[in-house]
Amino acid sequence: MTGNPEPHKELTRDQAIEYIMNHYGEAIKRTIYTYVKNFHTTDDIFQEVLIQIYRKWDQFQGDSQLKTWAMRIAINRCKDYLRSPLHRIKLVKDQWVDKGDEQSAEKAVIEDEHWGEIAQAILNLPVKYREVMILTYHQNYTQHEIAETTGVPVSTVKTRMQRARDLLKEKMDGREISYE
Amino acid sequence: MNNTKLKKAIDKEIGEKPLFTDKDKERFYNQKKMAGRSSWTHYFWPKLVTALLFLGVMSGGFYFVAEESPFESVTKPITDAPESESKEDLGSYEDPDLEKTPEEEPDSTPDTADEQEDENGQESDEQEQPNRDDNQQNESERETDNESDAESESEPELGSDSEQPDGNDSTNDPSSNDNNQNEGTSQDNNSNNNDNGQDSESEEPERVPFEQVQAKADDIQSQFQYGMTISQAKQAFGSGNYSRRNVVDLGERMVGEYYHFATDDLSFNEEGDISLDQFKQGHIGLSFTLTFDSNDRVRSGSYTYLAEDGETRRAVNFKSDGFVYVDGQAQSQKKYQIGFSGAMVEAIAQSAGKEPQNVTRQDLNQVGQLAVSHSGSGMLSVKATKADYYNEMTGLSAITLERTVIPAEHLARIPNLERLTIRDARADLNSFSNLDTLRYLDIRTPYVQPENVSALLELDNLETVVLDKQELSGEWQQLEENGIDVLESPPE
Repeated sequence: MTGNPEPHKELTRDQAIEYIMNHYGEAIKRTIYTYVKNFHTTDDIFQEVLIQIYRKWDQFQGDSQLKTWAMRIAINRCKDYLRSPLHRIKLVKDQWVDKGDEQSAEKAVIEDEHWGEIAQAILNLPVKYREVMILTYHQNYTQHEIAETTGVPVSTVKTRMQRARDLLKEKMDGREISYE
Repeated sequence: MNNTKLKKAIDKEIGEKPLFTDKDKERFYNQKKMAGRSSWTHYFWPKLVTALLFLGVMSGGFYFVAEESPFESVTKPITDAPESESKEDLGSYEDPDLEKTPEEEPDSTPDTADEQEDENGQESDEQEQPNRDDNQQNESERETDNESDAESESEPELGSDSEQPDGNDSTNDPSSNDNNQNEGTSQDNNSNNNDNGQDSESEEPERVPFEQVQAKADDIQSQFQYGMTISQAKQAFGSGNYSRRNVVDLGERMVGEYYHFATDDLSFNEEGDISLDQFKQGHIGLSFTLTFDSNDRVRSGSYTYLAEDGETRRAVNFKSDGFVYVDGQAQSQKKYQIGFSGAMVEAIAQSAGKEPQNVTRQDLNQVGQLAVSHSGSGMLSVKATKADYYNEMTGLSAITLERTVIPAEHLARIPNLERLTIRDARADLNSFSNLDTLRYLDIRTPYVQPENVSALLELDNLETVVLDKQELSGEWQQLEENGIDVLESPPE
């Protein structure tokens, strides 16, 4: 995760939320989607995250990257949602919707089927493995940043990364995936 | 993996159009504006409803207290056990170091066998009254007590106004455990006790001074040693009646029982049962029981005497696993150098290649794997005088519990515990949520609670669960969906 030095505590609450929306809004929203895999829910959770960031701005100490802090709030909110009974009810409903999407997706032209398959497989991994893959390969986080964002030790991140790769290989019917 | 291509592929899966648009901004600012405007009503109504609900509950409670509750029975029992005695009945105790487990709560009754539970979580040892059994027993005894009270009413000369009804004494009497093995004796005992009470009025026996009793109790506590021979025990406690009798779970054992002293001398209580009144009236200063093992060496012991307050009895138990309980509260470990239950000490000893008696606190961090097994009936709940012992087991990565329960809050203290296997013991899955380091869990035991294993999803590092899929119909598939391997037998 690279970038220019960020203004942190100097920002007012309103400036901070504007800054976060402008700079990290897209990344945060896409990350939320990888957890909940539903656009409407992504919209709702994103709003909740913004409100939480706005309310908690005073608690931001500036000792971590602003993006990491905001992402941590988003990820925690996603996990809360996934644990909620509401999610389980929605899941049943969404499964029907997804079938329709799959059918239409079949008709679409896919430029790179191989990478699409891997991306799909990653999005179908269990949350704890999915998040390390997404944060690594989609958000370019280091393992230390993932540890900071998800609140687990670095050793656990490493273990999960290895396990995620194993699961991914299984999902790809044993085909080797080269990691750089 | 090519990050750029994969990132693009993931983005394509999510959607190529930007997810974050000005609509999101607008929605946020609208919400913010609304929140600002309606903050007063937003917070006021829930608070008002809560306040009204609180008032309703308070006024309802006041009504029930002020008026006669419709739930109260008109035919209230004439006698109720005093609160402190009721607590004693239940055998409950609170110990900051020893966290209470539902599996076992030591009572203040004399012990002649291990703290055990049967497979249903109830203590099978009749000599140690389990709580639930206590409740049942108390109910049956209460009926008997009421009958006894009724007799007292019809025969007023047997009681006096100042005396406590004896019915509850037999309930609280630690020694009644043995005697209550024969059902229906408590009523006879009560009438015996009443007779004693009558005698005491006429004879006015000399009350044993508390200091003298306490000195004897201290003497016993210091002299008691596990493994004492009969002759050593007789030398320490007295040479009275030592006889062989059947002890639950142990078969025929030598038992030295019920020595009392009313003056300076020990004497054997011929009547068998002891009531609180007998202590209060000065007939008995102290009673004790010793149980010997098959080699006629002291296995466990207990003694009872009237506490300093003059109203309650103090019961000191030397349990067979080395724990000393005072009024049901675990105080110390007398048999081993480390304050764990015997089975745990033996397991550590085996792991460390030492004799159990030689295991010290320094050995804890050397233990890599532990197999704690209970050979008696029922389940053993492992006790520890210090919960910190678990924190000090830094090298322990795998533990097998066979017919043994270690409370999950204690397991969670083991810093690097990765593998947990439970055999023929209770596995309370809801309590496992703090076992963060666990990677492998084998719960092929008939006593898994609850059947729904979804509680295990909270364990971030869990990779493999071994369970009986037939037994656990409760959504074990959820584990697989979350990337946890579910097996029916341990991997090779």
